[in-house]
Amino acid sequence: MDDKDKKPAKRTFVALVGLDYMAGGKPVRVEAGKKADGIPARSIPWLIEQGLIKEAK
Amino acid sequence: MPSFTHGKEASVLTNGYDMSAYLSSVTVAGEAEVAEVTTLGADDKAYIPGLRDATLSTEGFYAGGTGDIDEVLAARLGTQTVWTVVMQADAVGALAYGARVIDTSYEVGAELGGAVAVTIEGQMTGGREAARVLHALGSETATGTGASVDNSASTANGLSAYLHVTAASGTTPTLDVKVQHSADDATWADLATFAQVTSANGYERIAVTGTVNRYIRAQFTLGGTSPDFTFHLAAARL
Repeated sequence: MDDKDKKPAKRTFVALVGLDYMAGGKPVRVEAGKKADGIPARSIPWLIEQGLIKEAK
Repeated sequence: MPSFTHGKEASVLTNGYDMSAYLSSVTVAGEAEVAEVTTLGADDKAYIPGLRDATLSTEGFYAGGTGDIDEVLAARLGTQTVWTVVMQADAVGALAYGARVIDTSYEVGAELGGAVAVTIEGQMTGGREAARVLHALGSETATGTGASVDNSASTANGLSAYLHVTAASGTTPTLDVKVQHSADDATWADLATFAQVTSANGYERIAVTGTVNRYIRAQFTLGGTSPDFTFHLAAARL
């Protein structure tokens, strides 16, 4: 299988401040220090840049 | 044509009380000092900017009952208080002024043929802060968020926020209020968190430093049994 056929690895994040967003049509509230699943893709760059989330190891 | 505002639309909150029903006028005044730097040989005086200053003055009508204007304001003379003045209809996004004010004068006067009047003067400390309303004065009975306010761009110098809680009811009610910000109006990050409020007449000014993204909004969490809080929230980009 070519690399282009592989699905991108799912990225998981940890919230460094409290976050609110919609995931799967439902409101999600994540407290600081907790795992944040389903963050809208368009929000991830600015959240990382501002140090509001970090990628989970 | 500009959209003018009638004076009747203004509202005034201080230390968790809505004083609008007692007041007939409010003035938020700002001025700036200058220092003269005129030198020999000059034909015209020259100045450089100095410090800004701001004051608040209000006039209204006396009422002496529990929670009325006299009880709220007379005892505060010489103390620092928290004020929010909205100079247009109170709604999310409306312009407001927030300030920490030392109440410097409280006068009560009666004249034959007129209503007993009150006058309040205050000296702002830390300047007047141009804010936007994030939650107009009104009741909430469930956890929620306010509409977002778009500043068109982010800012870098922090934010101050003013909360006044004018009424509370329920069994062991709690109210937690935050200001949230967002770069895309989709994901919201906590920016400033007020101390939990459990009763009426709570108030607080809080300030944070750093980046404030393009959009801001109120987020409020209610707890207890049948909670009902009436509150106002405004925030100023610094």
